[in-house]
Amino acid sequence: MIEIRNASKQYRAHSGEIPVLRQVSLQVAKGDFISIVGKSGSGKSTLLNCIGLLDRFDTGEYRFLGKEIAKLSTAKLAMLRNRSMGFVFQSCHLEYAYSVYENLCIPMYIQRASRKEIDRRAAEVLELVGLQHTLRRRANELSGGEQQRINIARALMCDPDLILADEPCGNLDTENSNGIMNILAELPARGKTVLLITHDNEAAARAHRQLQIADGEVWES
Amino acid sequence: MKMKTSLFHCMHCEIRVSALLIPLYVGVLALIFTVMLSMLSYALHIPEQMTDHLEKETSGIPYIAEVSSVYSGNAYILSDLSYADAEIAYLSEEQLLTDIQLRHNGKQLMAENGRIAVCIKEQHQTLSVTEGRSMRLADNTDVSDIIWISDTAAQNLQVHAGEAITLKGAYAGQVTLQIAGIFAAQTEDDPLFYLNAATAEQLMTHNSLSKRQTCRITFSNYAECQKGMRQLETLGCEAKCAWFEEADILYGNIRSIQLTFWLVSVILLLCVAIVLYAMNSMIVDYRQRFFALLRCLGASVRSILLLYGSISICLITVSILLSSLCSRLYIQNTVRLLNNYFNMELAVQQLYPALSELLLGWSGAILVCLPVFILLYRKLSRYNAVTLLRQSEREG
Repeated sequence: MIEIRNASKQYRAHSGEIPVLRQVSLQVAKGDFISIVGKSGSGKSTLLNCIGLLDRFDTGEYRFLGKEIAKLSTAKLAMLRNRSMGFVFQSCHLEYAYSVYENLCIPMYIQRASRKEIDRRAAEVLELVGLQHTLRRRANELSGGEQQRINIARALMCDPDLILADEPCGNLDTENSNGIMNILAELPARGKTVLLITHDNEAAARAHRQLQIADGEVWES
Repeated sequence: MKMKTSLFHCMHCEIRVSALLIPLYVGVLALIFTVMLSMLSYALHIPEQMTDHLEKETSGIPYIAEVSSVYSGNAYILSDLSYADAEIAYLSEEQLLTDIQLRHNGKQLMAENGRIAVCIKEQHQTLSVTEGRSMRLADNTDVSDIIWISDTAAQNLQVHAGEAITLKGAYAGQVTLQIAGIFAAQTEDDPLFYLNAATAEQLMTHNSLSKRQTCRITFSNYAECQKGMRQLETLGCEAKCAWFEEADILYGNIRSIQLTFWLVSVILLLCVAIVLYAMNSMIVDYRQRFFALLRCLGASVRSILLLYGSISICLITVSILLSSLCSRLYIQNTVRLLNNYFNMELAVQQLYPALSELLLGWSGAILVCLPVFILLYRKLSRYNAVTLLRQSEREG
């Protein structure tokens, strides 16, 4: 599903160019559950941005679902992001004025899905995260753990192949963190690939494969 | 069709929530700006139109202003009025003839119909002198204690050029004057004598104390009268147009309305500043997050701009139409106000300014809103999902 070969990324600063990712090579198969652990500033978020098609590698090759990413236009990347990727952020970034249903609708609206399709998917993903009863509630009426579950549900709305989770349990207590990790851990069994970025070793240990990142270099531990 | 449905869904989604805030704020801004511009335009133009109209309506009808001042020398100040339509300012003849007595050797000159010119003007240099010297321009201000008297007066008083005569002032003061020349009076209406400004001032002032004096100035029409009033006020005179009080009141109303509009415009300007500040701080920050989220969820920049742009254009159009309606209402009120005093023709005359005002409002709103749009979207387009993720990282 994901093939990265000798990819590098550097940022321009006043002091010159700062390398963030160095010769990263990575292969991820469908249904994998991979965790990437690294300290702050190690380059893990940049790696996530590039894998998530929000940014591009400067050098190297990146293929996603067999497509050469460097050759795709921004519109195509946006479409690919919508249909094949789901993002789970540390902060939920839910629209608090929306109901849960409306929050779930946003990615489907972008996809121009029909109302019937939206309703069907909303029911499925809410069942998956165990929050069927919250469909008509406003997002700001939910607890932090529930909001994060809705965040995961929204990421799953378009039935993506890849879930990119950036510190999904960062703002949660242990009980809610376990709940979220349980949900993420179930996804590979449903054919989803999960890429988890965390600095929590316990959470990382639940992944099938654990990657370490430091100074822009990635290796499997 | 599918595109329309999708756009409709997105718009519906947007309208339901605070995503509407930026277009709404821009729309409100446009509304406020247009109303403000309309009001400013109204405040600036209506009094001018009013004056023009008054000038036309009152052309050929003389207006007399009562002018009073605590300084008796006003007569000379008024003579310097720049308005060509204003007559040369006189102290009233009755007042001068009553208050100033010309005595010489026990004889008193009090010709009932005689006129006294209290100022030496440039044109008086052409006065035909039978004895003594002619007037010079310098006599107007530089030389005091001199007088030119008519040959009729000279015969009555039995005086000649070079002799001295005494004038009794309005407040019992006496001034001795040298007869500089004797001029030939052509008609009975010619002045009996000429004084320069400084001498007349001496005669009209008592021990340097002032007394309120009144004179009348005739203007060719009401508009000139209003201009003259303003100039007189700057000279320290209390001036009032005795005639046509309705127009005077109306003119005063218009000026007070103008002032009100200025004040309201300033308040609106402050509102705009506050809205801009709020928009820049809270709303833009919130929208940036939502914008970034949409990008993460797979929306392209183009589709987001299309969405925001279409909503904004709709709202701005509505706001412009509303504000144009408001400005039309201002005009209609003015026309109604003026029609109460004049006639229906004025309504027709106001049509063109009303249309100009409408156009001004539109162009003003567009000119103001366009840069706001460009700046806003340029700022928004810099923020993408990367920003959102970095923010999450910082929060973590």
